[in-house]
Amino acid sequence: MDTDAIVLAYLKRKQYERAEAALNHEGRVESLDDLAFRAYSAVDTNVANYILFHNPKEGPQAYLESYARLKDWITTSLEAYRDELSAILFPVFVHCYLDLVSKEHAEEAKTFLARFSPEHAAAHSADLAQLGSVTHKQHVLQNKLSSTFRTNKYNVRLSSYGFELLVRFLQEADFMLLLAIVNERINVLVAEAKPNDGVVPRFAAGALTGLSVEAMDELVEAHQVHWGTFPSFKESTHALISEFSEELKGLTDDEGRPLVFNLFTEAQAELDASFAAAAEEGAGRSKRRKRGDGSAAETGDAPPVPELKRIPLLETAELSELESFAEVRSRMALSSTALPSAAMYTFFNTYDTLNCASFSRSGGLMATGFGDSSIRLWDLEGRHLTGLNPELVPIAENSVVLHGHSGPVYGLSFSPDSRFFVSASQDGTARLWSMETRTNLVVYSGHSFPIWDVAVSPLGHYFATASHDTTARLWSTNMVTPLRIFAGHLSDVDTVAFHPNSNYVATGSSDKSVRLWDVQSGNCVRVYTGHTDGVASLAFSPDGAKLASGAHNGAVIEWDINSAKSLKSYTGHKGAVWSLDYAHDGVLLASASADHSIRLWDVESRFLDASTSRRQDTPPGGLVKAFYTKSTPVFNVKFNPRNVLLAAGPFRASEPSPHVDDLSPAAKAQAVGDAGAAISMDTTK
Amino acid sequence: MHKTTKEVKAMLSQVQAVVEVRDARALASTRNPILANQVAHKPRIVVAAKADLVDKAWMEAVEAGASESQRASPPVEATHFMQHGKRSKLTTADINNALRLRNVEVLYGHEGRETAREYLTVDEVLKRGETAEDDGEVVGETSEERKAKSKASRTKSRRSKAAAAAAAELDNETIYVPYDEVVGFADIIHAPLPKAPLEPSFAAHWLAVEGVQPAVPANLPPLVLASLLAGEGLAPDVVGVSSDQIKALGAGSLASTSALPGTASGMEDAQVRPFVRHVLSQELQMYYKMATSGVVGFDDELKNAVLESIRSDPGLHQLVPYFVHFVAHTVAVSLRNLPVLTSLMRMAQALLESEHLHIAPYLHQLMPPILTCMLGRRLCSAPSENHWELRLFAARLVRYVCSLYGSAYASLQPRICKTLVRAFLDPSRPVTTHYGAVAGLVALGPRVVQFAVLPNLEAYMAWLAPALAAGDAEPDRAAEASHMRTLLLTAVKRVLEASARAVVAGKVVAAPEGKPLPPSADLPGVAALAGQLADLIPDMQVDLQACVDLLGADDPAWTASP
Repeated sequence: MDTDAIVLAYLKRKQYERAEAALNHEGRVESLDDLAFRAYSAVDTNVANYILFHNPKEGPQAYLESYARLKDWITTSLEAYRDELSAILFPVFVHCYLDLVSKEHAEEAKTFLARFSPEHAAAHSADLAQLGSVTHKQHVLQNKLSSTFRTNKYNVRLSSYGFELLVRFLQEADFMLLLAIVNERINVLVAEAKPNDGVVPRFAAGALTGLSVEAMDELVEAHQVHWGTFPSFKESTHALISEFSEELKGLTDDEGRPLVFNLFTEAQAELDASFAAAAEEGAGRSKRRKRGDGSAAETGDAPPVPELKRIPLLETAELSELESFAEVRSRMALSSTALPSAAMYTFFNTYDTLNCASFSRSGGLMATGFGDSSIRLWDLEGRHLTGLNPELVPIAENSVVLHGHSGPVYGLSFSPDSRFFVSASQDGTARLWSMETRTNLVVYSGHSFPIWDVAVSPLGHYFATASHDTTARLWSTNMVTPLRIFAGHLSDVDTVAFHPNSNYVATGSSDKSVRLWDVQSGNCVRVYTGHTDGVASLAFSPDGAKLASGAHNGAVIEWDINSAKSLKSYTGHKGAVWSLDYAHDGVLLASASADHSIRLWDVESRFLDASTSRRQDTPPGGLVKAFYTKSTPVFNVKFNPRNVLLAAGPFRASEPSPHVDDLSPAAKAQAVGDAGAAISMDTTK
Repeated sequence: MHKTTKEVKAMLSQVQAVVEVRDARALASTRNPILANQVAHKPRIVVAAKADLVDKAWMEAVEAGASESQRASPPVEATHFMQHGKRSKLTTADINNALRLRNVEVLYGHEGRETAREYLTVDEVLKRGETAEDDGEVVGETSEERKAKSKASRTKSRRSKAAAAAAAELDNETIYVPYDEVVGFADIIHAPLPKAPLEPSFAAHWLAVEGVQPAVPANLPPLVLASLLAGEGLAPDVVGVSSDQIKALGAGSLASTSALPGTASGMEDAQVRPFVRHVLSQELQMYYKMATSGVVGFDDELKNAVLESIRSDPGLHQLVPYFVHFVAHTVAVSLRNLPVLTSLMRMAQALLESEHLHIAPYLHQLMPPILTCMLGRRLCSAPSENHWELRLFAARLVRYVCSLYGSAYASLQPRICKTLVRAFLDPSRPVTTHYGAVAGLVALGPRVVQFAVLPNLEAYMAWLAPALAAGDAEPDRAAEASHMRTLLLTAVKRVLEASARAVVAGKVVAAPEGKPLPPSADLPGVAALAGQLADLIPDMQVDLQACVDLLGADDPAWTASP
């Protein structure tokens, strides 16, 4: 091996190209790493040549020509490589354009953009709009997007064969410009795999994260994610049943009459038996899932549960109380054939100022944040909400307004026991509110820019905020300064979610990536790339193994938390996905979107993508059901403990339905007639 | 100045178009030469401010052309504010928020404006100006108003004409002029205050019931839904949802009747699609036939086998609605057939007790037949038949249902209680109905009896006395009355025992006099016990002593078990 290298180097130095080629050709089996290295070194020499013999006469027209040829070559290449190779088109496109701009070929840049941007419009429309505003040499470094592109390498994963093909093509066709771009601006990770076997995701393989692909892979190796959830109350059945019956005895109705007068022993025994059966069934289901899912199998049989004292948490007794026995017993078992009921809460007269809505854990309360800095609390069970604060005047029977923030309220999250909730606002503060006194208890200031989202830990005590300042922060309710600052995103952090075991926080950002942070160390432990638009919503699966993220372009991707690979991508929404939630048994995923619909996805179905698995009897892409609202974008979905789907959104009579084009003529006529009825419905409220 | 220049420079990289504001009186000299190069490649709009002060300025404006900028167009951050407001339309507030973020002074006077200011081409303005002048002539107004109006329109038309002249010189450009409507001063002064905006409110409805979107006005019309689902490659909803089902869900599923305040009114005028046939397998159909004929038949062995099968066999879930309907229907048609009714109640018990059946959604259909078997006026062909046992059995079923679902459907037990108490206190109902009601109340526990039965005992006994005394003249009536009396005895006894047990367990504070508590093993006679309890529990609210006296303290029934 060594001698070979020496001989090769000698031949190269003496420029005995034929001898070198012959030596290479001798049927010696090269390892893939060597191959990649060789390709790289070849690129390097060529770049050197290019710089040495750069012909100043080679005008800006060369960019247009070579990019067009590259594009043609990729679109006409074999289907097996087309998908992965096309991932390289966008970064090359961006850098060609930026090169043109920075070399002050304004006209050519304009032509270039006009000619080639339509083919990227579907996936990168937001980026193209920004790129279009970069028209001057100075802009290239001032513009956020172009400077990100210039200062970070774009990550692309290619299979070894695909990479070799690409390098051959670029070399043979003598595209020095493109080679330089690929070499300088793009970080190609050559995966040792055949194309299309899943290593290279079929959708948008590239991403800009500020981390190289190698660094991201290192993260996966360096940190094991303990995604298991803590053992719940299931272990202490008997204690709970007795507790349960005590609780029932204490219940009284309005007139002070006990609601349930005695729980007979036989009923108790029956409860006991049915509970045991339910627990067994639950265990069976999780086992089934493990067998069915290849990625979960990698992580071993027993889910890795973090140590209970890894981060300080509330007492376990208090934790187990959160999920009461009664809730589990009355929970409806869902599947792709047994679908949930959905209750829709439609808001009227919001004048486009409703920013967010959030349900309490049991679904009995809803908090809404408005653009006029106010928070409105609604009791969905019709109780009065005055609480202990005598100064609070209810505006309606079941609603009060809370004032405190000095800017639009963008995020709200209830504590798991629904006694408190945290709000996040444009004024850069988060506030803790008590449901007992209906007053503001604590102001948490630390972010100096608007806070976009807040999430309270499912185990209480902690909450996380996501801000425009590109950081997310972890707070505990008893401290006014943040405990951790999660920094690393390249753009606004738009959404944040807590892992069910509270040891991890996931953040979604406008930089199109999702990151997972370790609460204990504050480090980023995973980066999930694959979205082609900003991430708008996140949800963890109840078993803690999977993470779903929804983007502004309507894509929903489900990730395996530990391996950082995407498991499935659900497409169908035509507008931003504002909210996601898993059903309590983790079989269905609900997504709420700006396109006036809620969609239910079958998480357990196995499909590669919409085109290959499409059969007559099954809907494509894991879609189980879509619920359509009447002119109401859906801001929030949540499964209540009984697995009833709760949803909220503001009624916007003037907003055209995004589905109008899909309708048959007869249906369209009916929809138009109905819109009139809808408007009258609005005014009567 | 330097700082602002830097600020604008930084911002320029992210803008797509430039709005340049200059003074119309000195268009060329009010441009910013420093930034001239920066914006050379940007599309821009030159706004000539204070245009009403000049005529000639318009010429200059056009001659100077448009080249530089002073104010950048909306920064990128504004779209973040739009996204987090979950809107698809950028508002002036978003832009101001974004400017605030950059420590740039916001644009005042635009926030809250619902519609953008109207910009018209010169021709259009001229047209409108003329009509405004015409209006002024036609409508009779006060002289000042007319003067003000015509002056305003004169100014406008002068300005427009200047612009038109400018446009004529440079015929490749379209010039837009902001159109300000001419409003009389008096109109503004005397205009009534605008209406206060309506408070935000919400309405709730069922978007879907078990995966099917019901045809209620709050949802999209069925035809539209079907078309949308077909577009997604999904099968249209096949199973119709009856209004009963929706109401039942509205009542129960969210653990409270008032969970969906908007529901009730919305559902009244619901258009309900007809049922689509629910396909059952051949085996299940045969099973159903066999089971139903077995339950109402005379073969006890078969009957027991069927009931056991319903109670324990998995896989019968599809038949649940049919079974429930069978029970309800058969009870309604065979009200005089005691054996059949008894069998049906046993079937209901089997359905309720099965671990495999999910009976909760059908409770509202199953409860009426059970209550009928408890409260029915006459449940047998001959009065002498033992229908009392059936009533007690039905009462036990109610108790079972309440213990199982009472916590999930909070309104269930109060509703049943109310029905029973109403039946008991209605003197127009026969004694048999009263018997069923009291049996139900007794089954629900001593506290219910204490609050619902005992206070009314005196009045009821007075009502019952003639029947009790009827004796041989009307044997049936006397027998009924005596059954009733026995039940009432049992009821009082339950309360006594429960209270005694509470005292024994020490749950009630011991008597003030410090009397020794009676040992639990040998409860004293009822009369003595009642007396003692009255002392021990001063806040009992019910005179137990009086109740016992009313029924006769030395009745042998006190010791007999019911």
